Amino acid sequence: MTTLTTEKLSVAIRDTILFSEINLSFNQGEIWGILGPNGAGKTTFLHTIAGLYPIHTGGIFLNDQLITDLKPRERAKKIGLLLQENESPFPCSVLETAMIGRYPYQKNWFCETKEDKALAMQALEIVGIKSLAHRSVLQLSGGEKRRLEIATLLTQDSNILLLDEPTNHLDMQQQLSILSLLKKISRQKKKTVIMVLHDIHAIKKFCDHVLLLGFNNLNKAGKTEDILTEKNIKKFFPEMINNF
Amino acid sequence: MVTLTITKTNSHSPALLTIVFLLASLVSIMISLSLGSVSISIHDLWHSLFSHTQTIQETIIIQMRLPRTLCAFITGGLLALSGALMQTLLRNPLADPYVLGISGGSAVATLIAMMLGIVSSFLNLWAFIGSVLSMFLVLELSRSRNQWSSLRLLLTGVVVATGWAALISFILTISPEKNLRSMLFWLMGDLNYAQFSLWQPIILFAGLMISLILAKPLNILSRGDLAAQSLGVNTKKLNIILYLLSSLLTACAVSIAGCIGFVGLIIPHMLRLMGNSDHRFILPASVLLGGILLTLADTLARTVMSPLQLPVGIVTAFIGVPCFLILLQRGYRA
Repeated sequence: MTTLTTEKLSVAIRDTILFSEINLSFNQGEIWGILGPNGAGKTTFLHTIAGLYPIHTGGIFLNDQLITDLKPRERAKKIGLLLQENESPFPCSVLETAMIGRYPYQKNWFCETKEDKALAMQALEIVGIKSLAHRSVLQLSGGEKRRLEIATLLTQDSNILLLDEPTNHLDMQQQLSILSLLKKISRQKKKTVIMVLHDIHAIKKFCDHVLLLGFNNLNKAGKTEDILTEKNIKKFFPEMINNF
Repeated sequence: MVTLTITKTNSHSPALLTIVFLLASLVSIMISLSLGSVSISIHDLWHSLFSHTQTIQETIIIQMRLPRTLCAFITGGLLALSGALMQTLLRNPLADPYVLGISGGSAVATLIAMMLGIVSSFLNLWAFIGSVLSMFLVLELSRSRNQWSSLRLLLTGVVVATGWAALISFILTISPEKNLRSMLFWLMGDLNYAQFSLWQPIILFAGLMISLILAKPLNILSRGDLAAQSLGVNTKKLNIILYLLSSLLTACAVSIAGCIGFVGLIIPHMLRLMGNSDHRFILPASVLLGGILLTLADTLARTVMSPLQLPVGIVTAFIGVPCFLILLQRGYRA
């Protein structure tokens, strides 16, 4: 059982506090959606609980261990992060990219193991791009690149998956397919999924819990049906209530 | 973000390519030793190298051509290795060993030494000191609130390089005419006065070994700092090591033969075009291919307009420009 907990967590960008005193528990197998207006700090929050952004005050615990005490590779085995956008200035194959997810586990410098390759191929198959395994990543479309990034995250095989807008660059059908896939993985393998999404309907359909983040330290978290109420939406997105 | 794209996936076996490059390295060294104002056959070359006959041929080969050839090979290797590291550090395919002003600092120090009439055998020391000073200047200026990013490093380096370029122009303007020719030769890259020392292959070997230890994290780093951190790479430490290592390799290359262009830029791209971007292959292969290119370029520089000797930097540019354009046409899409 892996639980990610934030205790009195405060995060600041330079001297401005984005949010403070956040106490949350992300339990194993739960699917969380993070929703909020642009600039509210959703990505910063995600990077912070991934252990990549400095904490202002408070702490983040993986079970009872502070994540800042974990060695980078140990942390990467437990927490995987899908970024909003990835850099890929140099050509390399789709399979090579997917195998990068095995880095935290690799002890052998000389070459990847058969198991690493098999896991990467399996992840590519799951996201539906196995046939592109030997193509250069720079030849992929935006949607194919996104699916490759998700495959790399799956190859990393961590218990907690943090995803920043996983449906970026995907058409409606692919969005549904990726979100369904993440839900299936979470249910079958008891993985915790925490993802930033902009689509309220997608959060309602796929997430058990939701964290609403707004400006001026405004935040609210709980079960999706309790949090995504008209009153709360009005509070966090005052300009869109007429269309809700 | 500038990207270069391979339009077809023609991957060659890294092991096979490395063996081919090793053999080609030997061939290029043999060609360089046998060609010159006095042509020496392969048989005589072999004889001179491995039996001490005290002939004129042996003197030419052992005392004149061999040191220069080794200097050319090592300098090419240093520049190509530094270029490959710099491109990954900056995540920019257009980066080369000189982009961050290392060579500019070196050039300013060397030109000042030439103006002061310092003996040519000490010029490489001045070049090295200038490079190292420039390296620390850029490193210090690119830090902000103890934060460090490759973009900030690139911008700082480019600005410092521009400043050095202005100083170089100023020195050339006020220098006595008798110094100008040697100054220009040095700026274009010249192996005429290169002196072989044992530290040169040691630095190249040590640089390659350190780079190889870092090869796997470098594969991850090429996806960006944050992506690398999320996979467990300590990017802060890695970036600093990478910067210092590539800068020191450049400093050594510049102190041997001045500012030789193109090698550090095109060699890593030529290798990536062969279908493998893995640093475990790119780094050692860069050393070999960089060495081959510069050895052959120097042979041409010595022989093509003999007895006139061209600065090798001109020849690498003559080879580099069409090669790079052909690569762009055939395999890369900008």
